[in-house]
Amino acid sequence: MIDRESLIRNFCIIAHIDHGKSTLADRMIEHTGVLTTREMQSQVLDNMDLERERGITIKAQAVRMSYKAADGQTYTLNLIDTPGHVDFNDEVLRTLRACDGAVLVVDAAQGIEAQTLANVYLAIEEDLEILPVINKIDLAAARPEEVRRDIEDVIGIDAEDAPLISAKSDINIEEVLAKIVTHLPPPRGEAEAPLRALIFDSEYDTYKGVILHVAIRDGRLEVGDEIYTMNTKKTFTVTELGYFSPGAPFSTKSLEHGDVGYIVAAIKNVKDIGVGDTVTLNEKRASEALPGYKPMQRMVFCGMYPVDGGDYQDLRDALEKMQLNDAALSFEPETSAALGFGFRCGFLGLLHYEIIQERLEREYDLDLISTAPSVVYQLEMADGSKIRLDNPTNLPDPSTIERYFEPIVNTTIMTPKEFLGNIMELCHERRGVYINTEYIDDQRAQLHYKMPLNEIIYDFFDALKSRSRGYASLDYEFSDYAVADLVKLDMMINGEVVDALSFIIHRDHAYARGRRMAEKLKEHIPRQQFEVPIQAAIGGKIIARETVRAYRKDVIAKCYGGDITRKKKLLEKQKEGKKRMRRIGTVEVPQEAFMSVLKLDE
Amino acid sequence: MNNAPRSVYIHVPFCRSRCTYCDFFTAVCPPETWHTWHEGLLREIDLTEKLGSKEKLATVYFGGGTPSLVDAGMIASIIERLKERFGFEREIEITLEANPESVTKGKALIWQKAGINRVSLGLQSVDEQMLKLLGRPHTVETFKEAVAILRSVGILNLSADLMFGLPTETFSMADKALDLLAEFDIPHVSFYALSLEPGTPLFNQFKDKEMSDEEEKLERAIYWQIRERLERQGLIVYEISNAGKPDYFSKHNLVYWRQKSYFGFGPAAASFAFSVRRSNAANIDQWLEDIEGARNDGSYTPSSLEEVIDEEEAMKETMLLGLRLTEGIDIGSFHQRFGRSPRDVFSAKIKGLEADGLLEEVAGRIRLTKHGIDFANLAFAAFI
Repeated sequence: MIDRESLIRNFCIIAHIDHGKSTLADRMIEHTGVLTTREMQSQVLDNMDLERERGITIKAQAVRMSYKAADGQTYTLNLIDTPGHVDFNDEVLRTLRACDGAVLVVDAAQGIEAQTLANVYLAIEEDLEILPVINKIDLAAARPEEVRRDIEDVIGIDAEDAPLISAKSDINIEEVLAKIVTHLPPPRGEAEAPLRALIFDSEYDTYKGVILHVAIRDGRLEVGDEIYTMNTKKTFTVTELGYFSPGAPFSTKSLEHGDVGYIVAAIKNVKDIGVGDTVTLNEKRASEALPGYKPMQRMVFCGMYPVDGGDYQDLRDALEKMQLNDAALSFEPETSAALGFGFRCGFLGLLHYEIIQERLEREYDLDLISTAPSVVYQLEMADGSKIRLDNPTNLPDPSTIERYFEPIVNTTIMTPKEFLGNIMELCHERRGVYINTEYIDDQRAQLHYKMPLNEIIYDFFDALKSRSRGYASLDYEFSDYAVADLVKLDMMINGEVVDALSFIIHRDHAYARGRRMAEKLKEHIPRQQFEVPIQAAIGGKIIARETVRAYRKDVIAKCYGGDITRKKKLLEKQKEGKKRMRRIGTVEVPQEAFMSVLKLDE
Repeated sequence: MNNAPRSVYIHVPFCRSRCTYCDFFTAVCPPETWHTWHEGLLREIDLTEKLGSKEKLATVYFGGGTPSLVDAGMIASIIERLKERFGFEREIEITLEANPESVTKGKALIWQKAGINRVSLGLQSVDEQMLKLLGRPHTVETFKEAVAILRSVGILNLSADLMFGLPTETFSMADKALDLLAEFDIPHVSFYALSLEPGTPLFNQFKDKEMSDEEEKLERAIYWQIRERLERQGLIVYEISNAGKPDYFSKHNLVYWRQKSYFGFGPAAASFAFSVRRSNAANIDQWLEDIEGARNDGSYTPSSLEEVIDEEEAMKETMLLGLRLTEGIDIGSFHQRFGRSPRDVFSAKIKGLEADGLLEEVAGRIRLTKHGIDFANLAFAAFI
């Protein structure tokens, strides 16, 4: 008799954006016969439109497959998809902890990237067995042998038997499945020990409440059991258990150690549970929680405002709904003199911020203006007290501030060697402190810098891409807070300070940024019936000035042979444009003007 | 307002060559197509037989395209058909748009006999360089000849179109054009600022060149100079882009500005009848197909619905269109028609525009200020 857990493989796929993770997942699902091709929308795992478009996974997903191996046995393969971005490192870690092995997908043309490397190291630290796979071997630019050597040299794992595949063209997928069974270990854990289930994700369902995605490490769980969350210390009664299957999940009476599935337990509030927490039985509690629980750390904040003030309530509803599925998002009401009523939102990082913003606009059809993202500063006041500041507008009188502290991150940039100079220059412009350079192979190097986070969140990523022709990749993690010489830069339009455009910046950079912001605003503020001065100021001192010249006319008298409807449509279009503008004093400022100052390095 | 229209617009979508600034529906076509169009047009007029009510016509307007290009006989038979269907008022105004080069003595005679009593000539500019830039096939000489021909057959109500705001235009060019109009005593002038319409060759030529502050100032200065000179020459600027001697105002265009109803026949023609704005397909084949469809389904028009004008919309349009007129909107007439004063209906809007210096009330009328004329779109848009 074979142990049931020896027929289970819990694994994830580690890959850089675009290296073919989702396509490979699709192929595996096809080959295990769970879905027919017709039923399968391309890339089943990437549920959200946005994920599909950007080719990245934002939330972890899981799928259970049934695979008949060469040894005649039928195996249960649980694929837990990892989110693939720097902002979601904690989520990656949780996913890894739910697995025993990882399939490492490397693009045969592009080789290993910074992101991949960071995640592989995490996986190795977590004792995961790694199965390397070289994808896209049918590309003209493929150099599989080089990539194979890279994997061995850089990561130090045996890649001799790495399957050479093309997920897109369906080449050698069977070999990957076979190797998952032979190469990756079955789940660890003890059947008889008290229940320990790792929550690696959660989702919200209107009828069922919060659904926990779990990997059962030890023990077993049945419908009707009372569960206890070891870190948030809450109890719930299990009403439903089940497995993930592409398409529709299916329910079961119990989950055993080694299983990956879901728990429904009438959990109403997403805040009652924490992803990364350990679920045990209330009556028979485990003595120690699984490692990995860490409360969310929000690093980037910005104000989000509806373009049309009447959409405020809709924006609140949308944020509330999104928060149900994304506990990392925070928001609270704030008011801006320039933008009206809106919310101060907190994010894990810049990508998280961009994704939330895009989803709000797309899925909830909202037009938004967001203010420049800000990091969280710490202020040491003259009276010895400490203040946490996530909104530049709230900066106290500078004369009462003793010292400013800003968050510093450890930054890793992987790049072809020819761009090293460009990138080092960029890092120095952004106040980076050089740590070292590692050479990965004869083409690529990895740069390590300590950098202020506020230098990265503005437009660092775009600048990095443009200075490396798109080749460099970036990874960062929080390091510590450090003292910095910071000032608040204000922008004035027609003599009025626009609170939504204020931000905190290093003194040495204030002048250049103020000038560039003034130039950008000039480009984006349409001419008005009068001249509009745009100024940048520190304290009361003007450091830059531009002027938007007045326009002389706004009249098209042509009449289109009595086609009044057409004339009205044209006027309507003009008016629609106006609606998207904010009035600051007497000046109409379009949404784009607020957004333009977020991307200055062009 | 549910009375049947007393005006007709007819679209003649043919040109000898295409002007570089034009974005109207028009095509350079062989004469066979003219015949197809002509027959379709007669059939379209016949569709209106299905209407119970009809009124005698007070104005007819042939616009284009180049109505002067097609056989004058076609124009004559269309007028005849209209007269049969609707009947004409004694003082009917029938206008034909003409390009100077296509006016011949023979055509003019037929037009006159058919009832055309007003011709609007597309002069646009007197500068040969400018005419070339605009893609106009005529010269100043052809314009003079056309005027002489029309007068010789007894068509005395003449209008000339002038375009200003052309790239590299100067004061003296506008002056020369006005000298010419004075010399020939043209009793009506339409003066339009060039607007670069996407898709036209002129747009493509100049799209990357934003007008400089000086060019913008000059354009406005020329506009006001044209107005002043026309007034000095005895014309009254009765609309934002139109001036005429007393009794020579365009009755047909006033129908538009006063938010009255009109039929539109021909491809791409727009109409406003029975509280509905419609327009015909901007494609000859489609238009013909739609006429056949209408013949079979009991409808009086092949055009598709663009907008239903309820009372609220009618009030807005009355403001937006009326503001183009120098006299503006008569508060009393507005009240008489809608039972409410515009000051009640649009209280905040009117006050706002007055505060911005765009509108003023003079002798019971609401109109654009001088400043408001330069920024008319802002005032119009308030009533959208």
